[in-house]
Amino acid sequence: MRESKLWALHLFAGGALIVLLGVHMAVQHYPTLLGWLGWPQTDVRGFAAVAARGASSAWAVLYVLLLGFAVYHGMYGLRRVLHEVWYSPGAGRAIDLLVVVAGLVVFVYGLVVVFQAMPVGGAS
Amino acid sequence: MARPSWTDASPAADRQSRSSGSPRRLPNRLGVRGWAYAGRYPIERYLYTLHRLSGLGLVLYLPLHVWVTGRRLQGPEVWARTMATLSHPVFAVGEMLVLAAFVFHALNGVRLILGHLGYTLGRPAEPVYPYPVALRRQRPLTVALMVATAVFIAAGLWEILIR
Amino acid sequence: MTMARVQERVVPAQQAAPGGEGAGGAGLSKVVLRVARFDPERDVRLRWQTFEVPYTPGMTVLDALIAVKEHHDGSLAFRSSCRMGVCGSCGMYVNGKPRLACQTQVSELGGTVEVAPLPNHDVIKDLVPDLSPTFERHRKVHPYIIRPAGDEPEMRSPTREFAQTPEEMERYLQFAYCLKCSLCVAACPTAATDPLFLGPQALAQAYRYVADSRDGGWAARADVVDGPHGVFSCHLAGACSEACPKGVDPALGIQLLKRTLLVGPPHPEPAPVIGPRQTPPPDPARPRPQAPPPTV
Repeated sequence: MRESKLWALHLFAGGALIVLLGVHMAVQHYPTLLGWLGWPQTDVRGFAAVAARGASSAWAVLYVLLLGFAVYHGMYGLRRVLHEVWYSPGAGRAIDLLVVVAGLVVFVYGLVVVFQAMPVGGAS
Repeated sequence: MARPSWTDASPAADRQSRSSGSPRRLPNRLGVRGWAYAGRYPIERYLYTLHRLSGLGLVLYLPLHVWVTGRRLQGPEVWARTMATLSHPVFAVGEMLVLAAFVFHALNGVRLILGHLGYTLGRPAEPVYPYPVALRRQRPLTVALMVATAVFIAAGLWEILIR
Repeated sequence: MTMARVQERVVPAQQAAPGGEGAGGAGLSKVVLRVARFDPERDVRLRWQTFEVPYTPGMTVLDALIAVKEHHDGSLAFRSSCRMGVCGSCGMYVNGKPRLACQTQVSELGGTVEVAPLPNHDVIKDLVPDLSPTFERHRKVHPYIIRPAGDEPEMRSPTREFAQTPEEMERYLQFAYCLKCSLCVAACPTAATDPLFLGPQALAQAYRYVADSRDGGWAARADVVDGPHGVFSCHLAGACSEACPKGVDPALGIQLLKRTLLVGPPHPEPAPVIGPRQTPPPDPARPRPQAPPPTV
């Protein structure tokens, strides 16, 4: 694929992450801010809250999107940095292979975590 | 595409003929050190370095985070133990760093996305002294976003470490 | 065409103050010059040497280097030619910034001048950098107007001028002032690590031709810049534009080039192929005016 297509997706994923990760970070780290916005402040890290979020399909959609965009954006960014510091012949392919494999591993395990937690997934 | 006839003979061959047998050259590429400091440049060049650093930190954190999240599949006890471990001050500081990296990377990213697409930079103009520089036209945005970054990081500090 | 509009050089306040000879530079009488030296036959790294030369009003860094070469050390090597910021030969790293030595007043630097060869380029000797990689990358982006097929006869023997509106010209004019002095490459953080990166100079020149309404070479240029070491290795650090001595603003050109890769060039089609000028048939009612007979 042409570099410009990969890069456009990187940019789009970055824009989406600002919103998605913004929500995620606000829920995790800014309870006071959420309180002002009228969101009930609960113990977000308690098992009950975590399990409830895991069982909700709305949260599952958010988490899958978050995971996909984060893995793509992160791995493309890592690839850019590596390409710019390591340029010996053959390095390009090694870098591309490395980021694809690493990205797939994290993405697949992340999917397992999200769907195992759903009631239909069976584990919980 | 054929080389136009007015260019001189192959530059590579030219360079080789000059370098063969002649004294060596001194490599003077700044390397990664040049990201940290290279001279009196505008703030955006140093934000470039910080953007890379925060991005690399977040990429490293991502698999760790997915793994920790996966602990909940093993039931409430394992989850409670994991959370207890993570409430140690070392991890709280680590979490703070992740939050700071995210806030900076996201807000600086807003500026970069707009700039990469050609917005906020203005249009090409005739270079009449003092020369127009696109980066200076978007400097107010840089400043506003960095102020916002500081505010969010301060609020995060208060939420995570003090409250 | 620009000449009429060029404003007077902005002079620092201290330099504008009146007060007889030596007024420039707030009473500077001498210049301390710290110069990086590299003798390819002996040295393995840069060596620093300090010289003192008498200050004269209006002295540039290049003037100071010439004074050193004339009176102190004839072996000092540096490149220069036009002494007026047009040829782009005398790019150096002066007091923390890449600059043209001939365009940098010593008085702006406060009397102590530190001169090193341009970073991100191999050093040939003393202050002489190897600029050939920059020129090679410049050639890679097809830095000339590429006309659509069918326009060869007109290119070989032009029959008339190409009309361009002022707006069409303004799209590329700024980028056309490039001197190939390579100061932008010396400033670029990506060029500091990646020798395969096309660099701000070549990428801005790619956009200069892409933005030209006469050009039809977008496909060929897109092939060159759309790669892992091409235009997307620019992350908007902006140091190139700050370093540019001619206001070319490579950073702007590169971002517009990225935009072009996503949405296409600013003009969808190159200006049409022009045939020979159609001369209207003579009008019998209005005969051609005849020149008066020569008097001598």
